[in-house]
Amino acid sequence: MAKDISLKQVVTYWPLYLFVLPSALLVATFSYFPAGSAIYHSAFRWNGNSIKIFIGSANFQKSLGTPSYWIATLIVTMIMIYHSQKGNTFSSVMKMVCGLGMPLLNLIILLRIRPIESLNYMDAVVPAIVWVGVWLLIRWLMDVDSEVRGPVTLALFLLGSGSVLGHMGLHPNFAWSLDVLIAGIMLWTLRDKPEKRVYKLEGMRIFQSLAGVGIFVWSLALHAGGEVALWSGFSVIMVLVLANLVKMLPSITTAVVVNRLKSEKANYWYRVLFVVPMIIPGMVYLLLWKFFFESGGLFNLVLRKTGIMHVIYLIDFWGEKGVFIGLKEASTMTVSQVMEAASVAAPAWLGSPDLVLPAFIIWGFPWVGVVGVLIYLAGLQSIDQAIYEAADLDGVGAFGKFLNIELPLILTQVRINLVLMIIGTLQMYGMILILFGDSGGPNGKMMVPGLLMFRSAFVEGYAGYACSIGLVLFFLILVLTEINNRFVRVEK
Amino acid sequence: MSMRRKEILAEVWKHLFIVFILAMAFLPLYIMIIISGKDGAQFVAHPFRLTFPFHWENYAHAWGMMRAYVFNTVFVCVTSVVLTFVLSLNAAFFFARYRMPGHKFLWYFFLVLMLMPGVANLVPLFMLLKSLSLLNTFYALMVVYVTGGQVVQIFILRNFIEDIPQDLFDAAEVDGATPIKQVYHIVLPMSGSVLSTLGILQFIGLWNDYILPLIVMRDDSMLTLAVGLVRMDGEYVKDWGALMSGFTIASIPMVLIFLFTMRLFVKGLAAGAVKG
Repeated sequence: MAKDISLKQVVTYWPLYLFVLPSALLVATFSYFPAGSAIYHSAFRWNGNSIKIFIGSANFQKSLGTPSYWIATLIVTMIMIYHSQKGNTFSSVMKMVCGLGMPLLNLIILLRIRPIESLNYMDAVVPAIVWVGVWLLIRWLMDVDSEVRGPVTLALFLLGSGSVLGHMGLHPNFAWSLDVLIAGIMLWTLRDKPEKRVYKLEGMRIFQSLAGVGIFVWSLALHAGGEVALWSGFSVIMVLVLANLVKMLPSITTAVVVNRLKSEKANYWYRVLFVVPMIIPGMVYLLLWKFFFESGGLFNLVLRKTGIMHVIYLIDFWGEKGVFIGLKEASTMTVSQVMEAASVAAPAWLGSPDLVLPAFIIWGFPWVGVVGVLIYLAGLQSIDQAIYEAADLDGVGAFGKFLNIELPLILTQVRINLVLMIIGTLQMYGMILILFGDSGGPNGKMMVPGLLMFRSAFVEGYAGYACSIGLVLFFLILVLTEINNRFVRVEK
Repeated sequence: MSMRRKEILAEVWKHLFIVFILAMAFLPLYIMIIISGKDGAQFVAHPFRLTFPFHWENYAHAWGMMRAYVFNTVFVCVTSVVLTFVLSLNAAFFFARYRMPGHKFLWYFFLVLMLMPGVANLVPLFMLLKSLSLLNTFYALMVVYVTGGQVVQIFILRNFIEDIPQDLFDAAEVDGATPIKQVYHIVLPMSGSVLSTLGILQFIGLWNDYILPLIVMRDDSMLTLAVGLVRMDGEYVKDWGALMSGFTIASIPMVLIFLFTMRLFVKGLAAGAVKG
């Protein structure tokens, strides 16, 4: 056990502080001082050198738009997070205010700013069916014995129905706030089943009210008059986070499959083999993938050889997207001509604004992180073979075994990796800087917030503004971490 | 009988799946090595197949360009990792073994740091390094790496040291071992696999770091490997053979490290060193 040293004994034991002093000094100088300096300088027009003029919150206004909207939203968000997991009546009211009020407010504001573009009323049938589906789903989820499954499925369905609405000619933000609002009305009119011990609706309501706040923040980002590039960067980041979420699956699958092998020897050797690709440094790996994506590179070759290129071309042709075949040419082309074009096609994936994001999503196929696999394997090791045999006797399928035996054991690692992934993706810009320099790729499509900060500071000389963008990012990460700490509990 | 056959079939599918994943994971490695031995004509004719003669002079060419970068990076990384170990072992020992006044405050002093994203600090950090006139020196890199690296290590090592049996420390104290001796004679020998795992992970991270060296280093001869590789990639667009040789050379130090520490590393990961 640790040794307690009281205040009086410090006179004799003070040299012990020397153990931690160098670390603390380093941290104070090279972490805390820059952080404080960032906060201080975000209120200045500063070129990083001599010119320094106090301008108050102008830097933040430039990036975010009107600050009072943000402050109000932040206060509501904080109250929401504070009350989210309490059971009393006031907290429920708060949740309802966030879940129903924020989307409603958003709808009203949006109606004033941007009227609905060409709504086809017949198309409303589809979302109506989707909403009935959501309602049935909620009813069904109330019977399922899982706290996590409710919010997750609800999120997926909201995403689906929202995008359906968006395609109907509604502005996506408007569509989604309508979506969240209706889901909220459903959630608040349904009653929890008192005979069930776990209150299933509660989790979904928390999720829904968070979604309500999220919708409002999204709307602020679009309409509060902030920097356009910053918000388009955040939407790119959102796409990348979703992609990375899917990319976590192969590592988990691989670890589970390796662990399920009957032969111990094969298990060991695969483990050793999985370490070998790790010896390619990340930088080299990145440049190799850049080489694969070259116009005449391996990726196009594989696409052509497997016929996937033809499929993509046909989709592009029929869907009239104009990504690979110009729309003008497409109008005069026949299907066989399209196929012919596909068989010699060599699109530059990293050179086209439409293709660069898909290229980033495909990047690193088959997305098996070596360290990830090894960490998951370490968690899985403790499973006894007898448990599998028992599950076999009970007739549990392969997926059921995963859900009931393997997933609970690696859930801690999965959650930690998830959080680290989100935080990492949010501040990701090194890769883009390496690939495209500070221009942000074709048409500035990949101008993510981090890169915008880098560019403002080191290219354009607005160091104060860069500090303010950095602080926005920092704050966002702080909020995400807090949400994670509250809602994603790690059971030991 | 059919049950048995079904089982075997299932095993075969598992093996096929893993072999596929492994093949995809090895593909970049394969292509890098294959292309590193090609001249321009061979690359155009058969880009992804082994061709003879294997042009070893590509390696000589690449080595000539990258020698300085490799030495710089090895120097910076090794020094930073060792310094981080020294600092984080001592600090973790302090937190694990003693409850001094101000202990809590110091702990949170480090804890908050884990939340702080590096991205917000970059600009002021650069200005700080500039005013300390550390720009264009290796000290700038080392000092930032050590500061950033020690925080996570202190956390993991604290848990590790707390698990070391108390008796060992008591016995040492009876024999008159000072705290510093306890660190180097009890903690250090016992934490081999944890330290090697942490060290390798940090080493990999530093080996690939791009942004800090990019903004800190001015002279071409002072660049680290990551920046040098990107620069090479931009300049030698057509000379794939030399470029891939360069990539291979950049991977070799990693190979060496893994050869010597792989067992410790896999063991460390298995023991949950980075489980959190």
